[in-house]
Amino acid sequence: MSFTLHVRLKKAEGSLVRLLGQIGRRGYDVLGVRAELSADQKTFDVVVEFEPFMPVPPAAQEARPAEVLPRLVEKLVEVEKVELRGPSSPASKSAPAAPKSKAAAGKPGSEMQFLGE
Amino acid sequence: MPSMKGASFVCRALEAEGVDYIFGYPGGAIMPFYDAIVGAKFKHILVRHEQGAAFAANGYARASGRVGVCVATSGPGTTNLVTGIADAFMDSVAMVCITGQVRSHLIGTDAFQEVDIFGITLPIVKHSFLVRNVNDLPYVMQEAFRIARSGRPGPVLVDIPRDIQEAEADLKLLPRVVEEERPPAPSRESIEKAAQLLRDCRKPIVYAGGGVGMASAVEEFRGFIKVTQIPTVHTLKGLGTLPYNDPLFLGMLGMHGFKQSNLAVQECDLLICIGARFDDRATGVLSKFAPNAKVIHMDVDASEVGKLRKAEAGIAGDIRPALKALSFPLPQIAPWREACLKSKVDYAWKYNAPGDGVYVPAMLKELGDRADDKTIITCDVGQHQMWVAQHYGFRRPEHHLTSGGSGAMGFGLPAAIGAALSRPDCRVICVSGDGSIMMNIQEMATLNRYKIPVKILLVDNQALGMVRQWQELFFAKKYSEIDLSDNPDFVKLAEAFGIPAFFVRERKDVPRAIDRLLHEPGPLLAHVSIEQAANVWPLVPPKKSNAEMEIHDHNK
Repeated sequence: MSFTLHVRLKKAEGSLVRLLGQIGRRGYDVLGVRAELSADQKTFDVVVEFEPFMPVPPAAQEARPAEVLPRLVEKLVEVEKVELRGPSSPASKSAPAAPKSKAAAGKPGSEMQFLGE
Repeated sequence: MPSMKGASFVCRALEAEGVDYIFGYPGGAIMPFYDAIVGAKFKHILVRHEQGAAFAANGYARASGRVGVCVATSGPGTTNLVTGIADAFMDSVAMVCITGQVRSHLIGTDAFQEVDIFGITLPIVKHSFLVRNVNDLPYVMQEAFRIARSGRPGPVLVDIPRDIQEAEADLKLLPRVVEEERPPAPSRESIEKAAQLLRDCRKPIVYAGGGVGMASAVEEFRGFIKVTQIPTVHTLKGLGTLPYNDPLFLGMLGMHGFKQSNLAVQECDLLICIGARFDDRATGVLSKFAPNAKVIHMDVDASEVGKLRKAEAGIAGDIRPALKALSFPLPQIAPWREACLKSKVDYAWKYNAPGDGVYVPAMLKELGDRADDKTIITCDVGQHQMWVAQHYGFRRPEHHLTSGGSGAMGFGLPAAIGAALSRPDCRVICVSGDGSIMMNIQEMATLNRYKIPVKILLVDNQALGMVRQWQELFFAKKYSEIDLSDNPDFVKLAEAFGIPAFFVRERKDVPRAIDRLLHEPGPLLAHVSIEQAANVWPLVPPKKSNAEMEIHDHNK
């Protein structure tokens, strides 16, 4: 089951690599990426399609919860906004209140405009 | 501020941050910085290996709560920092790591001593900068310190090409960001949900980790326990959050946790996890951990809540107001509390091991009993580390410096150097093993050079003891590459470095050895010989729940 993560992040040294590394390293398989630089060349709008890894037996067959990923991503210093979209896992269901105002994880009616939306 | 070189500005920025010690090792790409530090207000400690610098800065930060600073040159200098940076990342330690880089026009050309340390460290830093323009330095230095110490602390890398260090510009210091930047308060809804779970529970356990101390919430935590009277277990890094002699402290949980701790967690109906992260060393098989419990999870880092175990109440943000709001009496838990306290008595450790040889748990208990409230213990990694955690008896979390998340052998001695310099009011004792001490043995030269009064309690079983124990128990006694019987004479070795040292061979020698460790001035090494077959108990075998721990000695 795949999800999409919509991220706005500052254009800075390694910021795109850092974002993708955080997603892959934490147990989520990147299926596709689109990134577009803003007109003022200060931010990227990034859309990442991903699915949580499914552990191989004998490990428990429980994939990492998708709703955790926005909270992992929003910790990155360059990330300004994050939104998770997926068929069955709105992040607001069990996510605690995020400590950073920049988080918009899974909130319905977000005013963020992302590439291709 | 008049025009100055980038390297000089970095020095001024460190001074403005109030840095008093930095730990490093010079080399080609960082030479302008080393030229600039002559006459600086901070003192540079010349270590003998860059890993020692990273661990010393790490120990400095852990003991003092301030930001540790380490410095290295490009290439191998930076890669030698990596283990210490990873350790700081895993254990959330505030560090700024300044590295020299080859000149900007050489980056990406495989130049001499060029390594992409920015790329190498991406997964193990809280943040990192590669400085492309000298005019960025004021912002970068301000941000590096702010990021390192804010929220959940962590290491920040500042990689500065040599030409940027040499470039002149009109650079002005930016105002220092106020250190007491608190995370936002948790939501009222999450606290109310947790309060309801507390009111409904009958068998609660508090499972607290290093996050409590790092959030400066020890007093609020102790107040919460005092009012609620909930039995408490700690992770390795949480030890000391509740003093070891508090009646409600059951002990450490997890792979080498005490029986009363692990059994209480397994039986509880509400697990209140505070500043901990369900690490596999604490939980054993996660699906079997506290199987009947609902969970309240409090953490400054929202991404930890629900990462590994679903929380019925997740409290993200500043844990201090949450602890205060949840501090109300729970009269309904009295029978459970009494059962836990009885279990603590029933399973109390017996320190009367047979024989005349040194029994390390008893030695460490005696050390803890006799040390005062101003004693900091650093550890290396292995059996001795677990014995310290089980038996020393900590009174404050910042008095126990251990490589918890990364489990880095070689941490103890350089971390002790950093701790001793940052806390000159404290006695610092490094408890190490014969495997671990050799990983950064060269830092004895640093001890001697600066006459840093670190005491080393070296527990020597002439083997890689923890690996040996696992091979004995789980690999059919097929011992593979664990023999260290050709160790050097550690007493002579210490003396060669200029450090006084002595042997401890029998149990009867222990009290006198502790006298010397606690009261002699200057650095000192005590070399304690123990039998190779000594094992750490209890032990939760792999793929077992914490209820299935094994004890195979006189405590069985």
